Amino acid sequence: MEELDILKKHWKKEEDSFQQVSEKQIYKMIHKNSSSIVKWIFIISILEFLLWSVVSFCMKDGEGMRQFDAYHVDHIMTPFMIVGYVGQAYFFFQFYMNYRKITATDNIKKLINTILKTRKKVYQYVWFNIIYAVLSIIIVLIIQFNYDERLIDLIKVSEKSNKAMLIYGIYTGITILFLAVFIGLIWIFYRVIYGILLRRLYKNYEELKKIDY
Amino acid sequence: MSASLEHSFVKQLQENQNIIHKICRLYTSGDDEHKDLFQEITIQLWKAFPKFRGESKFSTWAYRVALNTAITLYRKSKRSIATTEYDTTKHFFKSEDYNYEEEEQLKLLYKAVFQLNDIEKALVYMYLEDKNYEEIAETLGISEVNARVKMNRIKGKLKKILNP
Repeated sequence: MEELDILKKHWKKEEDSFQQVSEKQIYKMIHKNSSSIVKWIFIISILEFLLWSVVSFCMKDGEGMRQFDAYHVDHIMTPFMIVGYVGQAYFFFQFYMNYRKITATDNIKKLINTILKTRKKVYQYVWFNIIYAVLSIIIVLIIQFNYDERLIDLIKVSEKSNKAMLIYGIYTGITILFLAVFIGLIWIFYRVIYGILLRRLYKNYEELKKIDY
Repeated sequence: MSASLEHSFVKQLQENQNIIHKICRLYTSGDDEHKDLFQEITIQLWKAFPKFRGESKFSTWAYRVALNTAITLYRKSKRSIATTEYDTTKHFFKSEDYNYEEEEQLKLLYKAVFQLNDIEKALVYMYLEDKNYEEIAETLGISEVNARVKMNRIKGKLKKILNP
């Protein structure tokens, strides 16, 4: 007899060995909160959304921004900020739609696929924020080189002593270094969070793909 | 959701709870973890219940949602992470029909099944539940032929684990 058939013979009998859960206990259970992976992904996306909103809000009221107002560059900054808000709203809507789309009644492969798609959207969101942050810094840098009186004076002085390139170099160098650290930290953060959350899902999805090559 | 819907759900689940217990049996290794997964499956079933139209039997619908939860949605809680070993202290027979040899054989078999991955366990579960390959394939989202091939491979794998 095959191993599994020995188990099958016993399988039906095993029903008697389970401690039965009462109706009252089931009532209690259905009013408890789920701790499913999908819920965690959604919670994390809401937290991200709040984090980025707080960051942009804080920057808006910061010393640097006030100084920026004096340059009268609203024609550049306003469209840029609108793009930012539209992007945030788009991704939040997508997160919510994906969250609603996930249903435990799909077949297993489809379900895992939907969840992984949700994660893909989260990655796109991360990239959107990184690119947006990089562009912001580049724009700020360009504006400063063109509008900041002190900086313009400094460059004029250094041009006389042929050191203008050095000033540009120092500014660009510091910016690149800052960006690299910033992107690196965000990247590690997401790798850790989603690595922990989705490792098992990836493994199972790969297994299904392997069976159904 | 209405009280009558809630009542209908609780009643049907109570009657069919062994389906969930059996899935917990294959996917968890201790009592705490078993209870934890049982609860998560119950919550997921309740969430999906308004969409259950009665086109299939409650039991068929329930085992699919339960498998989905065990494989995809469930996250082990902290207290159960430590127990990844199969619980060998569990007894399968009541004292009146105790059979030492069979008991030991079953323990080894369960221990072997426990070493399979999540997808393989799902196939084993459906095999033990006498589901046909059409249903197995549909539940997993793979083709029927590949479900058969995989099932044969699992049988071979179990043989290897049991007779190294």
